[in-house]
Amino acid sequence: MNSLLAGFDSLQGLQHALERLREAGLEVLDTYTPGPVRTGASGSTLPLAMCAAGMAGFVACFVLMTYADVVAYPLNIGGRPAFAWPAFVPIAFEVGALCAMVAGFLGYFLVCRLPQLYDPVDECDSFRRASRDGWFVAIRTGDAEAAARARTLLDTLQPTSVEAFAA
Amino acid sequence: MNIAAPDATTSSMDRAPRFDDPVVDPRLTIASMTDRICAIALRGQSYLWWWIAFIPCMGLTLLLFASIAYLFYAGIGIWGINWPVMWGFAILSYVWWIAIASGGTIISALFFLTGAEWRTSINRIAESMMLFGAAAAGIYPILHLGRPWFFYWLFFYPNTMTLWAQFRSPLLWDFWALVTYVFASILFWFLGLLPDFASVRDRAMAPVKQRIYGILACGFRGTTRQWLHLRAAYGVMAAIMAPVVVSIHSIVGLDFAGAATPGWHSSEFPPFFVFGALLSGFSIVLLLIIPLRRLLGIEDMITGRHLDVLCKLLLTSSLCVSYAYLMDAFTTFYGGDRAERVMFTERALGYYRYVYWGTVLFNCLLPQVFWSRRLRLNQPVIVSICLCAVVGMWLERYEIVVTSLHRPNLPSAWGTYHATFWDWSTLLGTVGMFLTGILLAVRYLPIVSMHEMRTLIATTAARNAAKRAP
Repeated sequence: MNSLLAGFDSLQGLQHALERLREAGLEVLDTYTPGPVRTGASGSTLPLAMCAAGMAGFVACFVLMTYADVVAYPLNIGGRPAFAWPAFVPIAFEVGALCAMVAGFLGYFLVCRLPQLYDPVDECDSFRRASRDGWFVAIRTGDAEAAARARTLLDTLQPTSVEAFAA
Repeated sequence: MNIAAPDATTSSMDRAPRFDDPVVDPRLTIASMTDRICAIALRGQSYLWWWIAFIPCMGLTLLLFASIAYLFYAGIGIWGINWPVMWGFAILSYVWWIAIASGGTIISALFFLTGAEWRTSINRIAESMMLFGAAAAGIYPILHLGRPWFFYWLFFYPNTMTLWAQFRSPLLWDFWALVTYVFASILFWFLGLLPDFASVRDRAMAPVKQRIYGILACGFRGTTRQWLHLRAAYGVMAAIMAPVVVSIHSIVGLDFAGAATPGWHSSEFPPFFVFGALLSGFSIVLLLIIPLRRLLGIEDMITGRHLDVLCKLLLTSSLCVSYAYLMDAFTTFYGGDRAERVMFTERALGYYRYVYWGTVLFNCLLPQVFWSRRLRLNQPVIVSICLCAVVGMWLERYEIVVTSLHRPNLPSAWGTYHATFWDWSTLLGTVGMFLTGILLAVRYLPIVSMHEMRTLIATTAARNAAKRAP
């Protein structure tokens, strides 16, 4: 039981606690909050991945249509050109958009390592408030000494709850 | 079963909507809001009104299944279509449903990008509307194929016939636009639901519900990482959904514009169809939120401000649609093509004239009452006008599809069209399926986007505090 889950009433309380805990050299911190927290963490890479997937989908689809209508199955419709590139744009756009959406969705599950139906932190009774109005920080330490140090420090920060859990 | 709202969902702003209502009641806290929305999804017994609405809708859904079964047995000869009107209810209802779905996406994606605060509490309802509207639309293209078991010929796939689909045809664009739109809608909707499923999971007491909502939440716990990527991915998805929704309805318009039929062959069609999507979208969302805010006791989250904004937007889209109708008439007579003129005269004065003037009355004239602020907040008036606009949009599609086809270029090919029982039963069936889906969503899903509401409540509180401070 070397890990601790501490809850706070407000975002400000949590942010203050995070600073103090980091100053004390406790690094393995996870926050569980009912809304986004600005932590100065670097931005997400997902938009870039979605953009790349969208572009790739657009190009691949365009090339496939060109191959189909120009090389594999050219069809003369009133003498119109086989390589009618403007007519290929709508489907290429749609397929590109679909690729970007799928990349964003699957990418999200990948970078967040979801689905993860069980986590030791679920054992804490107070944890249910994390999706309502409680702002939580979990300190996952390897040794009892650091856990004791964290608990002493947490007691000075007016948490609403502190619970120990095994992780 | 109790028809009144239960304690957990009692609204603290139980009064008539007013135009100066805040977008969310300042007395609402993130805790009380979360508890009330979760209580709706977790309620043990359903509301009486829910059963009263659900049973007939389920009956209509069964009628849809019966109609489809008979259609697959007997073929599309059971419908009223024949030469020259070979596109009937299937196409016009498809376009009508796609417009309704698109309206939902416009509220949920486009107004997300503009940062409109009023979008937050009605976003989930609009997204549910988009999902079930797209589902209702999505079955029609399959049904109207003479040989529906060959629908997969539209995909790219290597085959022993060495055939390829014709990529230069707008009808194929339409297929891809619909496939993209339906799948993208599901992904967008589900990603936005993850944090709310987590909230419901954490409020659930019964082990079965904990498991079901736990599986749906996929282990979302609100870590820094999960929020960071969620916001990024959701924002980009909204930015993709906005052009996709414009593209799908434009492409539906191009299905028509690409044909050399009088009344269809016009470059005006893509924007004209998007205007129609706006009008039907705002109408349906108003028709849904007005009863729901009362029945679920969420009048302090969906306030007079929402009604006021949505009615203004409905009026705007009605003006856009009116402009399109005017231009339709203008280009016909300015263009000087004889067949176009004959068709348009028939449309306005001929056999289907009631459809045309009904469209003008319901879509252009009646919404003008929303110039009055008092009527923008009068709920019975809003419901009547929106119902008329929804019917008017259907009539508009009828007018475009049927009256154009019944007067083609060759007078020897002129004819009329009437729907049969199976046309009507399929249409009513899709209405039942749409409403069944909405009712299930209202009952079992968090019907207000709680994680976005928390941000809205926090910013509103901060703004009010700043106002009070000198």
